[in-house]
Formats: sequence, C-alpha cells, structure tokens
Amino acid sequence: MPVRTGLAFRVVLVSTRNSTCAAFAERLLRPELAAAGIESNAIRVSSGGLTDEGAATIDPLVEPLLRTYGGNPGGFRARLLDQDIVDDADLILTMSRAESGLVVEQFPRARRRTFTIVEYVRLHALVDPVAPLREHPFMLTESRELATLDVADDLLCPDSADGFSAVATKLVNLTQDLADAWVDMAPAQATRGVDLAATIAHRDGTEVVPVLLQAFGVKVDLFCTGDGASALAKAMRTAWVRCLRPAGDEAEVALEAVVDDDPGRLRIARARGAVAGETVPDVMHSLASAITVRAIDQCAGQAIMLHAAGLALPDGRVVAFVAPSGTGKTTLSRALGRHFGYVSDETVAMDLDGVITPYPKPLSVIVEGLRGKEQVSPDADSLMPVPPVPLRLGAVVLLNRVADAGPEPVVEEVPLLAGIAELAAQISYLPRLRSPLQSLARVIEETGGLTRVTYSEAASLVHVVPLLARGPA
Amino acid sequence: MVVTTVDDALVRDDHVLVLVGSDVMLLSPVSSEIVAACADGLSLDRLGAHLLATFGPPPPGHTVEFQTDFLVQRLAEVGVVSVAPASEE
Repeated sequence: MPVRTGLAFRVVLVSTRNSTCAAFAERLLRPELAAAGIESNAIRVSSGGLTDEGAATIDPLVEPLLRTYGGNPGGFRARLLDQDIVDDADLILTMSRAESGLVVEQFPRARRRTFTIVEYVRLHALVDPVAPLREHPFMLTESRELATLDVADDLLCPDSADGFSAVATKLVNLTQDLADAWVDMAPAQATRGVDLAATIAHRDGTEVVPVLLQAFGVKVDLFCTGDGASALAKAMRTAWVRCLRPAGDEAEVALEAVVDDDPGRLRIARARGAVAGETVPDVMHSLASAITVRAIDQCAGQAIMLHAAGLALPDGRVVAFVAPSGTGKTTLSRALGRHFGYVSDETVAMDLDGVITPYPKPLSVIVEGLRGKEQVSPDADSLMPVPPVPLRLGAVVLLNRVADAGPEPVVEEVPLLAGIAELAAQISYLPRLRSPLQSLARVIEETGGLTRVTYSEAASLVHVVPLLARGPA
Repeated sequence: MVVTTVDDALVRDDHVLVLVGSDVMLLSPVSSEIVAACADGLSLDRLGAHLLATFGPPPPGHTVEFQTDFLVQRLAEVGVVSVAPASEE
C-alpha cells in the first residue's frame, strides 16, 4: 500500500465575495492540478470570502465563464473566512493587495502565508524554491520586495460579465502557472521501485531504462520511458554521476520520467504522476526538484536539512552556506568546489549529531534560452569530490551577497537566537524534529555558533572557508 | 488565565526564541518574561504584578493592567499564549 510521505498542501483562495473570483479560481485550479497528476488530497484547494454571503452558490456573472474554461460550479457554497479556515491553510491567495491587508489585519498569524495570487506566481518564478510546497510561503515571504506589485496587479472582481471576462483570463493563466510551479514538488505517494517497475512493465511496448540514484542517503529509482527514454537515462547518468548507486538495495522513492514529443502521451504521463516533458533538458530540470523534494519528504523528522551549499575540508568538516533560492548558492559551489569537496549546491542534510550525508547533485545553472536550468555534472565542472572520511558539520554560515561590497569578504558573528530565527525559513521540516530548536542549537553551538559572510564575488571566499570551519574535525 | 502555548523554546541570555507551528519568533525581553512566567498558567492580575516587579512601572499614562493586556493580546494573536475566558480562571 503506497504511503503519502509529504503532508497535504492546503491552499485557500480569497476574494471579497467568495462566490466571485475566489470561487472561479478554486474551480479552475482543481482541474489544472488533476491534469498534472496531482491528487486532490495532495494539494487541497478551497476558497473563502471576506464578506458574509451565507451559503451562496457561484455568482451568476461568473458561472458561464467558469463553464467555458472547463470549471465545474457544482456544489459550491460560499464560506466566510474564519480563524479555523486560516489556521488550516498553508497558503492564502487573495486577488488584491487590499484583500491581503484585510486578511492579515483580521488574522495576524497568517501574515507570512498570505499573498496576492499575482504576487505568489511572480515570486515563485523569481525565487524558484526547491523544497516541499508547504515551506514555499515561508521561503517566498523573505523575498516579497522582489514582486514589485502595482495597481495593475490587483484583480478586482467587477460587477458585470464583460468586466469579469478580463479578470477571468488572468485567473486562467495564473492557475495554470500555479499548477506548473507545483507539479514537480507536490506531496507524493511513496511508491516502491519494484511496484512502479511492475506497473510500467504492464504497458505494452514501453521501453523502460532505470537509473538508480541516492540523495543524502535516500535511495531513488528513476524509470525513464517514452521516445526519449535512452537519451534521458544517458544524460541523467552523466549529470548525476556522483549520486548513482549500485543495484541491489530496494529504493524508498520511485519516479517515472517521460521524454516524448507527443502532447497526448505527455498529458497521459502527467496524469499518472510522471515527470514529463518534450525535451531531455526540460525533464532533467523538473527531476532535480522532484528528486530533492521526495528525498526531503523521506527524511522529515530524522534529519536537519538546510537549504545550503556545502563544501568539505580535507578533514571532513563541512561548511554549510545558507541562502534563499536564487541568491548565489550554485555560483558559490562552482567557485569553491574547485578547492574543496563538493557536498551539494542545494541541500546539506545531517543527523542530529551533525553527521552529514553528501548530495553531490548536478549544479542547476541558468542558461540563456533554456526554459529551466541546465543540470551540469560536478565532474564536467571539475569540482573536487568529498574527502574519503566521515563528513560532519563544521560551520553554518549565512550568506549575504552584496554586489557592491568590497573585494574582501566580511565575516561577523551572529547571535544564536537571532541567527536561528533568520535560518528557520531555510530548513526543511524543522517542526518535525524532536525538540526542534534545541536540536538545531546543539549542532550549531558545537561548531562555535553562527556567522554571516558579506561578499561580492564567490571566488573571494576561497581563503575564508578554512577559517569559518570552527567545529571539531 | 494566560498559558504559554509554544511548541518549543530556546533560552539564551534572558531572550527566548519560540516555535509556534511553522513560525520561529525571537521575543522581546518582556515577551520572553511572559512566556516564562505563564509556562504553567497565570492570571492576568498575577502576570501584571510579575511584570511590574520585574520591569518596573509602565510608561506615564499607561496602567499595568492596560500594558499587560495589550502585550498578552499581541502574543495571543501570533499563537504564543492562549487566554482562557475569565469564567475559567
């Protein structure tokens, strides 16, 4: 029996009157997610309003357009947003900044989970977070200023069908964007490799090429299918060369990946939960997120998982450079990985004693003209392997890249509590650890506490890395 | 009755860091004191007296009762404490 490892991601769409824009968005997002193979109990979509409409059905101005776009208005009843709905939500998406303000005013605890729908889609594209979906709001709230919203970004539900048409078009695009953004990282059933292999084998004429991987100790079986199966498997073995594992052990996570140029076959593949795309680079980009998040889900409650780049000294001490997505971890890994053992450019995972299992995944590099990021093998980038000794945490460093900082990096101590408060958004499943804050503080204090390094060029950090690692070898 | 409702707390040098759900919050010294004092529950009156003894009188124009109630409400809004109805005290 498959077991869901990630917790459900609960989204509440909010408009002033629930029966208008929020209802429309709710009833569009659900089929978008279903078409992407995301089960309704993996991402739960509901809606609410800021004014009491009783149990109103969908507004008559909205209903025809909803049907036109393939949404089902059946069974809808308006709800007034209340504390229980808010407390149960991982993400609250409003139509306008004014509505976001009202939500936060009424429910202050929702501040870090409340965004306008335009704001969230925009931030997601800019930050490109790689983490379980429930953690995205906490990661994206740190970067709110990047969204630069103005009045044109507010979706104001008008009082006429003609007026609603323009808003509806925007919501159609936004719900598609949300589904695209969430598909690779949605909570998934943990399917055993043998079970998925058997399922695929029953499909007539399907070529299946397995690739056996591990991500910080989590064994992942990848089954490549479709017209491009062989090409995908070959490219994955090259890019993920340092994460390959020998056959024999049963995998905790299994994924199907499909490369095919037939839109119909891709649609069917996505609907059954496969990572699917037209080209090998597209699918590899999606797989990088999917594999990382599945492995994170598996380690929930057992490991401290920092969103960090990790570099290892010859004695096995690892310096974890923590930074939000899109702020320089991969660039730093490429620069420092030629001098120190490359542990990861994305996730540094350790047990509660600070013992680290490396995740030398391909580096996710932005390439002009490519839709996603290119997955570059650490071998191709001439990054050093981790030393052949046990790895343990040597330092946790908060990265602060400032373009016009001086040529020399500036290192400063960070008070423990303030540092952990800052660090928390960059740790996966922190609340699931036993005594989360105590456990985290213990491993950090064993390394001599937190530091922050301000720098402009990653290469300038080379001579600083050994000084940062203050923990015991 | 005011009761601390955090999921985990870390104390260093008279400051407190708390975990409430997925939120990690660094508290001010007076909020830290409230969290510590209300670990086993404390009435608003007793909490006010405790804060008066610890930090001295509130700024001119404010009463201990007003300041205590204000701080407790702010902490309750973010889930750090809960306040039981007066009839349960």
